[in-house]
Amino acid sequence: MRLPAGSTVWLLAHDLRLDWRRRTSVTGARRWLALIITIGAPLFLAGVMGVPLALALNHFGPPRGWTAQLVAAAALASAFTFMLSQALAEVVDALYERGDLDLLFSSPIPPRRVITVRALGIAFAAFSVFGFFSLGPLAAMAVMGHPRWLAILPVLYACALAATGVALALGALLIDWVGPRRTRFIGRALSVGFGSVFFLGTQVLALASGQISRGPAVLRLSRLAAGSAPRQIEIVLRAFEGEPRAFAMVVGALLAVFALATAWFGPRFAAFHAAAKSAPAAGAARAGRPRPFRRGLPAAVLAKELRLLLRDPMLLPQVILRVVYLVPAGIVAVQYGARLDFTALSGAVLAMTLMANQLAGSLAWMTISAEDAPDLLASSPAPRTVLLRIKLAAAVGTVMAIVALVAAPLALVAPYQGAVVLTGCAAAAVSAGLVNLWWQRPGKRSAFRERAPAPWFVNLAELTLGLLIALAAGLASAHHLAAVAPAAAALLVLLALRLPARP
Amino acid sequence: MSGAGLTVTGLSKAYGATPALAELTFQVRPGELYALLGANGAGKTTALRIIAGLLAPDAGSVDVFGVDALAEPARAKQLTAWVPDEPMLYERLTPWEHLEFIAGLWNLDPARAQARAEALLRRLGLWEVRGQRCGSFSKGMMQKTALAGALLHEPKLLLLDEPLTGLDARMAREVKDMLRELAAAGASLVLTTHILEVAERMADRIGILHRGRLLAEGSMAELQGRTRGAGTLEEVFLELTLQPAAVGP
Repeated sequence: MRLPAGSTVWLLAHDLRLDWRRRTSVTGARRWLALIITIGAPLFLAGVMGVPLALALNHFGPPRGWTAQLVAAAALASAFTFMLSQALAEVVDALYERGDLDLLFSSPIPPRRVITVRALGIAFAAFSVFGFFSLGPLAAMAVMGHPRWLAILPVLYACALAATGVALALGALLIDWVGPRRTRFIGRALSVGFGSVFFLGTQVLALASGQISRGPAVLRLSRLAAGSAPRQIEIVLRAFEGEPRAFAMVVGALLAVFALATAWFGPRFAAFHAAAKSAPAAGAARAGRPRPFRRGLPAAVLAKELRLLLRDPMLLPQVILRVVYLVPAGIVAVQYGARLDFTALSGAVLAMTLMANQLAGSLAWMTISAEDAPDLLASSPAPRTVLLRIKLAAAVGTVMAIVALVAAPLALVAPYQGAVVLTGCAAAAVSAGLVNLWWQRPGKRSAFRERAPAPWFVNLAELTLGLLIALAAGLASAHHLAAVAPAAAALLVLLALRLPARP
Repeated sequence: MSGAGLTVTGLSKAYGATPALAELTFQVRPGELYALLGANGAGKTTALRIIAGLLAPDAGSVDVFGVDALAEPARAKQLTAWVPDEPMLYERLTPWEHLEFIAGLWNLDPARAQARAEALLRRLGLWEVRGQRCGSFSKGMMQKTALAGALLHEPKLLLLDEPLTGLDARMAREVKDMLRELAAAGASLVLTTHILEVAERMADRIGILHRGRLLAEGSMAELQGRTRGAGTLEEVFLELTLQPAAVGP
C-alpha cells in the first residue's frame, strides 16, 4: 500500500528509513555480527534477567515496598535525563548539521508537520536503546504470566517523547536567549551534562553526606533520598505494572509535555532553523597586528591541533564532562590518601586511569583520524610520520594537562600514589593514542558522535587495554606486586595490535 | 626535456579495472600556463593528484624542475602547490592561523612567511577578515584563502583544479592576474577548468583529455588547425571529444 505523499505517516516512514540506513550501514562480517547481537542480546537478556524476574514475581508477588517505588521512579528519572541528553543532541544536529530540513521547509508540507515527524523520529531514536535492552526481559516475563509489565515499553516511549519535547523547547529557548551561534555549543554542553546528571547527582550527594559509598547509584540515591521524596512517586511503579489509572496518568502527563512543546515551539522551529543556518561562525575579527608566526613544523602543528580541539563545539563538552567525572574520583583519592587507606584509594586511581584512557581515545581520534584537510598535509613536504607523532603528542599532552590538575592535590598528600596516577594515566593515554594511530578510522570532525568504528576486535582490545592499565595502576597504588601482571598483559595486547598495523 | 618546469611521461592509473589515465605525456615550460581540459571523469583531477604526490601512478614518471617527484616526493613538494576545487581549509582556523600552519608545513622562515602572508591576504581582499574563522566564509573567500596558502611558499609549480569556482567577477579577474604574474615570474602552472573561455584566454597551451588519454595538445591556434573550421575553444573541444578516433595528439 502506498502512503499518501506528504502525509505525516509518509514523512515518518521517510525519516525512519533514513535512520534505519544510518544505523545499519555496516558491511561484510560486521553485518553478521550486528545481526547476531541484534537477535542475541534480547534473547540473552530474556534468559538472564526476564526469567529470574518472572520467577521472583511468581514467588514473591509484585513489589510493593518503598525501595521498589523509589527505584522505579529513579529509573524513569534517569532514563528521562539520558533521553533528554540524546534528544537535545539530535535537536542541535537537526538545527545545524542535517541539511534535509532546508529541503523539507522549502516544500509545501506544513512546518508543524515536519517538526512533529522529526520529533517523533528523535523520540524513537532516544527510546530505541532502552527499548532494545528491555524488550527481551519484558517479553520473557509476559510469556511467563506477567504481560502487564509490557506497559514499561509505552511508558518509556512516552518518556522519550516528553524528553524530545523538552529538548525542542530548550533548543528554541536557547536560540531566543543566547542567539543561534552560542546555542550550538551550549546545546551540546547541556546534552552532555544531562547525560551525566544522574551519575554526578549521586556523586555530589554521596560526597556532601560524607559517604564515599560503593554500590549501584540508584540504591545509593534511595538511601540518601529516603524520607525526603514525596509518596506520590509510587505512581511510576504502578504505571510500570500496567495498572490502568496510573498508566494513563503517567503516559498522559508525558504525552502532554510533548504535545505542548511541539504545539508551542513547532511552528517557530522553521524560523529557528533559518536563524541557526545563517548564524555567523565563532571568532570575530580582531583588530591590531596578528600574532607572529611560530617557527618550525612541531610548533605549527601543535598550535593548529590545540586550536581545533579547543574550538570544537562537540568535543569540548565531552572533555569538560570527563574532567567533571575526574573530579569526584580525584576528591575521593585525596580523602583516602590523607587517611593512608591505600586499598580504598586504588579504586579511585583505577577510575582516573580509565577515564584518561577514554579521553585520550576521543582526542586521538580527533587529531589523527578526523583530519579536515588530509590532502593539504599529504601535498606538503612534511614527513607523515613526524606529523602523526606531533598529533599524538597533542592528544596525549592535553589529557596529561587535565590529569595533572586533578592529580596534583593527591601528589601533595600521597606522593607515591600521585606519581602512580600520572604514570598510569600517561600509559593509558599513550596506548589509546597508539591504537588510534595504528588503526586509523578516518572521518569528519562533525561525525564525532558516530565516528566510524574500528574492527570490533580492535575496539574490544582498546577497551581491554584501558582496563588492564587501569587495573595495574590501581594495584600499584596499593603497593601490590600483582600490578605487574595486568601491566605485562597490557603490553602484550599493545604488541598484538601493533603487529597487523597499517603503513 | 631539459629546461622544463613539469614533465609528465607515460603516466597511467587505473581504479580496479577502470582506467583513469593511459600513458599521459605532456610538458609545461617555466613561465607557461597549461590548461588541462576534459569532460567529467576524463582523468584531469587524477593527473593533478599524481603530480601533487597525493596518488601513486601505476606507471610513468613526473619531473618537477629537475626533481623526480616519485623518487624524491618531499623535494618535489617543496616546489609545488596544489589547489583543489574543494578548498583544503580548517573551518575553525582563521586565515592568519591557516597561513601560519602552512608556513610550518613548508618549514618557511617565520618572518619572511609572515610578510608574504600579509601581502597575499591584502592582495586577495582577506586582510580585514584575517581574524575570522574560515567556517563563516563564502565559497569564494574559502577559495581565496586556500589560494593564499598555496602561494605562501612561492611555488615553482602550481596545480589548480577549477581555481575560479565560487569567485565573483572582480575577484576572478584578480586571481587571473595573479596567475599571469606567477607565470611571468617563471612558475609553471597547470589548471583544469570547465569554463572554456578562461582556458582560451589565459592558457598558453591546452591539453584535451578524453577517457584518460591526451587527445590533442597545443596553442589555441594549433588546436583550431586540427579541426574542421572550429572557431571557439568550445567548438574545438566538442569536435575533438565527440570524434576522438579521428584525431591524435
